[in-house]
Amino acid sequence: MKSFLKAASASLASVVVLTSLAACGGNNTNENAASPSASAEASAGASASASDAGSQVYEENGLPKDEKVTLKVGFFEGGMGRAWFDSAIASFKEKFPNVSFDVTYSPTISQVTQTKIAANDDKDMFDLFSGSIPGGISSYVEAGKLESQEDLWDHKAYDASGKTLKEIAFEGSFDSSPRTKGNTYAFPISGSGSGLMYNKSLFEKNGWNENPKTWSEFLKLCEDIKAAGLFPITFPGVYPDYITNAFGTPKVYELAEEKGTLDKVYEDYHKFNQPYYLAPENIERWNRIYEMGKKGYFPSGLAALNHTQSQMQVVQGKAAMVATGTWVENEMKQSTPADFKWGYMSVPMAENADNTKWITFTPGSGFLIWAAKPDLNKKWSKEFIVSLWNLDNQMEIAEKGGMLPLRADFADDASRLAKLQSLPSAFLAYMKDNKVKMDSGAADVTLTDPAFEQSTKVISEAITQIATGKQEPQPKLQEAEDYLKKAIEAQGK
Amino acid sequence: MDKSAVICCKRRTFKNGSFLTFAIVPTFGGYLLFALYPNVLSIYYSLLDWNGITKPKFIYFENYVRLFNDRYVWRALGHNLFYMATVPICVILISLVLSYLLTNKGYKGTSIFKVLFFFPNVLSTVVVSLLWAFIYDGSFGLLNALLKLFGIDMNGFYWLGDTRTAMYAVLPPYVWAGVGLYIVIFMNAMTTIPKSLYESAILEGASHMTRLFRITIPLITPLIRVSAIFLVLGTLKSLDLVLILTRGGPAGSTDVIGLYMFNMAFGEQVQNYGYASAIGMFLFFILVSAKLVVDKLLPDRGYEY
Repeated sequence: MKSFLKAASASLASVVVLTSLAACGGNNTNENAASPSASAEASAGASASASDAGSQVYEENGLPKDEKVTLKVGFFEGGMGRAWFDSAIASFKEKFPNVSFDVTYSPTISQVTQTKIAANDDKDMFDLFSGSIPGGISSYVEAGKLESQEDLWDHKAYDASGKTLKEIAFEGSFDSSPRTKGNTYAFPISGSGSGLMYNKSLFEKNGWNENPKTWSEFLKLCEDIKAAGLFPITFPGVYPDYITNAFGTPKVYELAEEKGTLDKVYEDYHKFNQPYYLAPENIERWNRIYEMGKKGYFPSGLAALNHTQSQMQVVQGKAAMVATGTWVENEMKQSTPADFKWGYMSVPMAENADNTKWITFTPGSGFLIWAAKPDLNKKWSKEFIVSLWNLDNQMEIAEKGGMLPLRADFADDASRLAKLQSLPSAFLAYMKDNKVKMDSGAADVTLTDPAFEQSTKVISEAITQIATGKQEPQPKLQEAEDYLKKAIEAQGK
Repeated sequence: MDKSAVICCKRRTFKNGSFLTFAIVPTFGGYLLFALYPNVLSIYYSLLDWNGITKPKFIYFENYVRLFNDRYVWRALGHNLFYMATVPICVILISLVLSYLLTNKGYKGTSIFKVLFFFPNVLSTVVVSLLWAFIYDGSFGLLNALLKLFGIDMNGFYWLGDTRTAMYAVLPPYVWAGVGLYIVIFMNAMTTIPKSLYESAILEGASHMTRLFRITIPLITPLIRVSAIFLVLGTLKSLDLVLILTRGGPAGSTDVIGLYMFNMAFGEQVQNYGYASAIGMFLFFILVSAKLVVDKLLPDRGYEY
């Protein structure tokens, strides 16, 4: 009896410890295992489809009708809201009733995703998820954790008479789509343009220039606004990189084009060739911001403003323009008066009115697909992404999400165009009235050494100081360049 | 001793043993797994060039060499030292005075004040931060409005948006959020001090200040010492308030070591668990040192009464 009790208690203690260990260690090698429900359903479905393969697949995509699949989705509930997404899910489920969705909505979904990644449990991981992964996706791509979606460009759209997504895409979308190691990993479903968004009624009332064509005209506009007692430009200084929506890398290209050095600068910026921060065009960009700062064209308390505070400055008539993206209309729709109308402009950097205006355009809002999920889940995930290019979904994305549609044939129907929110309409009008080149401003190379984070930190911390005329750009650019050199050297080891 | 007594004794020993096993294993196991193991693992991580996904590369002490040459680490640490030197002193002093008043002055609403002072402790850091962000707002902030009442026009000054004021502006939220808990702790300690001590002091003509500094504070010194340790370590480790209020800005003037470590581990551009772990280890060393310094400065002297 004594030995039995000893053995029993020892076993029980072992079980407690082992259970804890098992719960902790989880499953980190089960890379290709299907989720329990998916695998069970898949095997059941497989036998069913084997018996009647011909009639058990969908004509549109060749995927089995009788294999139930639940896609776990992590959804970034940001400026676009979720109404368009719920609508897309409903229409997809109606068309493919064997597919269901288990969606986690969150404005900070990247933190949820990151926690799931850290848990290293592929079963628990999302099949597809929107939003970014902090630190970027390069290392995940390198580790084979994400599924390439480059093939989707050649996938036929559901409602475009056999045309591929690449064929129906808005001009420039294919080229400016963000890629890692040459592949698309978050296939874009909408576009967003960056620049200066302004209170259109206020501009009309004051007779301010809504489409300055040259740098001098732009400075004159800022002067007029300042004279009227408003801050010409604001942005969320707590997130200082927001200034790049108006003065981002494409503006360096705009200056380079005027100087005739575009090819070199374009290549240098795509490959982190040095001088990078100290490239003359970049120095010029920051010097101009500094000069504007000295004239008080940005609010003095800039560094304390968050998104809402800076955008409210425009809504409340304290500032005239905010550096952000076309999503701002949707983001602020609860706070803007019903008659408030947004306008759009890009900062012209050249003195020649006919020069190209380089605009940060980001085809995005895509979903990443986790590579270690069952093949069938991944296939359905891709089909769902393709379905988001359906005209009805693109309409929802534009109307309810406030984003720019990516389908070129969207504009074929005037009634669809009329449903666009005022800011995407203004953006399209700007493109029509000006010679425009769109670019994401992203580099082809990824640097992972901490010195790179430090180089961006130098600039990030200096932005609000430069924009308020308190810090000359040159020393900070030099410091950032030095850190970048270290990062490049470390990477080359 | 007869045989049955021996069996009975052994059975009791076994029962005690199994009780101890079941009582200790789950909790101690949990501590080992979820606290000690990850911390020990961090020592190993700090010797790696690793972002959590790619293959780790053993780089010996390179992260530590980088750390000691990283001016951002020292700048952040400087800010930490400022908060470490000010927050605990402010919190303890304010808590002591308020709890003394509430305990000895016999105000009618003592229990209500106690709840009111404790209230910030039930608020999350996010709420506290946002509340103070509104207080400091240049356009609609309470602080500027208050100053205007006294004829001081700050001209829309953003207290968190200026490098000259941001670091000091972070201090009041820290103190406001911390005082309530220590008021409750100190009040409970003060109520245990025998009334006779105060009565004899009053008979000898001791003022409130004399009673506070000669009777109350010496008698609750062990508690003040523990509070100081909690506050010093908590201030050194914390990053949440700064993260929400300023994200370390403007121009890094409120950056703290925890936030810098967080950004290195989960940054926008770079994720480097190795370097972040090295900073974590450095922070651990500082925390242990701070604890020893507080131990040295505040002697563990208790009184029986």
